[in-house]
Amino acid sequence: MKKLFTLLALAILPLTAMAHGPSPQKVDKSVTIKADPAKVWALVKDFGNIHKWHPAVASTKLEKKGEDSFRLLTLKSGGTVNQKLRGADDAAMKLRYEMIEGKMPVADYNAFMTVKAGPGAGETTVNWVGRFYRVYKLNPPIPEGQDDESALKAVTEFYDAGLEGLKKAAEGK
Amino acid sequence: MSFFHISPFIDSSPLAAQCRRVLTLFDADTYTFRSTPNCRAPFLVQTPSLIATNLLKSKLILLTSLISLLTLSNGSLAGGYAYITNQGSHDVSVIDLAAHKVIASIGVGKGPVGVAVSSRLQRVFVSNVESQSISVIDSISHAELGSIPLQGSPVAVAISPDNSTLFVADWYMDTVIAIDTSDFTRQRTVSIGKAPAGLAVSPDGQTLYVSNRDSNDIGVIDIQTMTVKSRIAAGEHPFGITISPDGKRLYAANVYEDSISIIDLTSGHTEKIGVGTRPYCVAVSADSKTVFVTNTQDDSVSVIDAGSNKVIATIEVGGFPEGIDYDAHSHRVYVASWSDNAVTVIDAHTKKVIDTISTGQQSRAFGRFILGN
Repeated sequence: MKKLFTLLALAILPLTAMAHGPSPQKVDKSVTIKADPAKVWALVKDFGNIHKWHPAVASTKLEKKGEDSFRLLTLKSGGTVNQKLRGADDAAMKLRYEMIEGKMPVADYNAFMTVKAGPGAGETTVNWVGRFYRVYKLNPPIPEGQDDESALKAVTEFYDAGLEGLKKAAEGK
Repeated sequence: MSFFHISPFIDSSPLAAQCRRVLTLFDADTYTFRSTPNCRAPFLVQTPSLIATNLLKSKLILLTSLISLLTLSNGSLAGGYAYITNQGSHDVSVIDLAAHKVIASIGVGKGPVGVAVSSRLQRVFVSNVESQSISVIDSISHAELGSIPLQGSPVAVAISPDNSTLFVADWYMDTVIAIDTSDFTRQRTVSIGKAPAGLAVSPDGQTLYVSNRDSNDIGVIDIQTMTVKSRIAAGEHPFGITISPDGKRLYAANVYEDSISIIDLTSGHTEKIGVGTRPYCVAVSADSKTVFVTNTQDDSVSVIDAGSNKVIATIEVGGFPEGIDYDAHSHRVYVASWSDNAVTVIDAHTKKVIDTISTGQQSRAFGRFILGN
């Protein structure tokens, strides 16, 4: 009896102990740029030209479908990412977009970028926040490369490289 | 059955120490700790069937409190509190509603999301999505007393109007669990649709509603028998659900459809109206006349007039707003902002943002999180 229970428990343990709800993941990155906010915002809001400042993007193709704007990014590492513009608010200097599909290990990805003056005189702060899930939303075992860590790593690397590139482009270096 | 390994939950508080001293220890037949007259509810308890599924990872938890202390502390609730679950910092921010300040931060399990409060029990229940448990918090001492282990992954938690039952939606096991609040091992379970997420209890305590996120419907459960009576079609991906205080309507946020379903609980008539992008949760004013919906991807709250079923205002709030609750005492609406790590406060009459309160990381506050006085 005892042995049976122990075996049963061991058999179900890997499943039940690791099971957890797919929680939304967050990457929240900021950079301070020595440039005028208007100049930085002009770069950020230019939805079809992200390759001009993001070093990981080889080219961008802007497409209009009715009132909606989409951009197809071709990554330097290979593969494409299709994103939809959700809004570019000039007053708030806030860009919102979502990912339709692409070579990123994420699901339900959506993000915003905000541009604000400060903290110092002649400086601008850009904040980039993404919310997404891992690719595999069901119970473990989670296939390799479809877990939370893979999703977080990919987005973090994309944001870090992008903000560095945006800083360089805006500061004219 | 003596082979079951039982490790006692260690609560180092003086409160628990006093309580332990007056406990009768252990009933070998039922593996049940029993309360004594001096202890309100030294809850936890494991039955052999529970242990069979939770063996090796299970902890025997003893949740204790003294009636004397509770009685002494009754005067401290002026203004009430909001309990905000923070998914990223694995804690709960306690906001003093009179001062609009976080007065305590309570560490809980991993990835807390759902929250339910009970003024009478002086308890706050929090679902820890990533550690498969419910944290039990004392609303007087603002300390975690212990946790209730579960098999799957709890999302919403809700409390019955008579405070006797805690309901838990488990979206991995596709079940809803009814837990007796006087003995956490007394649990009843009902299988429901796919990925049950949100919960709402009718004000008469007879009926439990659950949003089945991946079946696009609302399950209707008879609480007494814990059986499914019917299922009402909702929109795509229903998540947060709320019943108006008058008990007449249920509102469900249809995440993938950018709409809410308005269900007349008397006639069964359903109407859908469009709101902002990716709505998550709903709060209703104390007079049942105004409805507030968080739009997670528009960073806004839609305000709906319940008389005309029309959106009458849209209020900009903190980024990725999720949980929302209405404080009947102050007529303010509190909104958890996931990306800003904050709570936005709205004056329900003027429909203006009047304050922003910094909280923990990735605030979600899914459920009725305001504990009034």
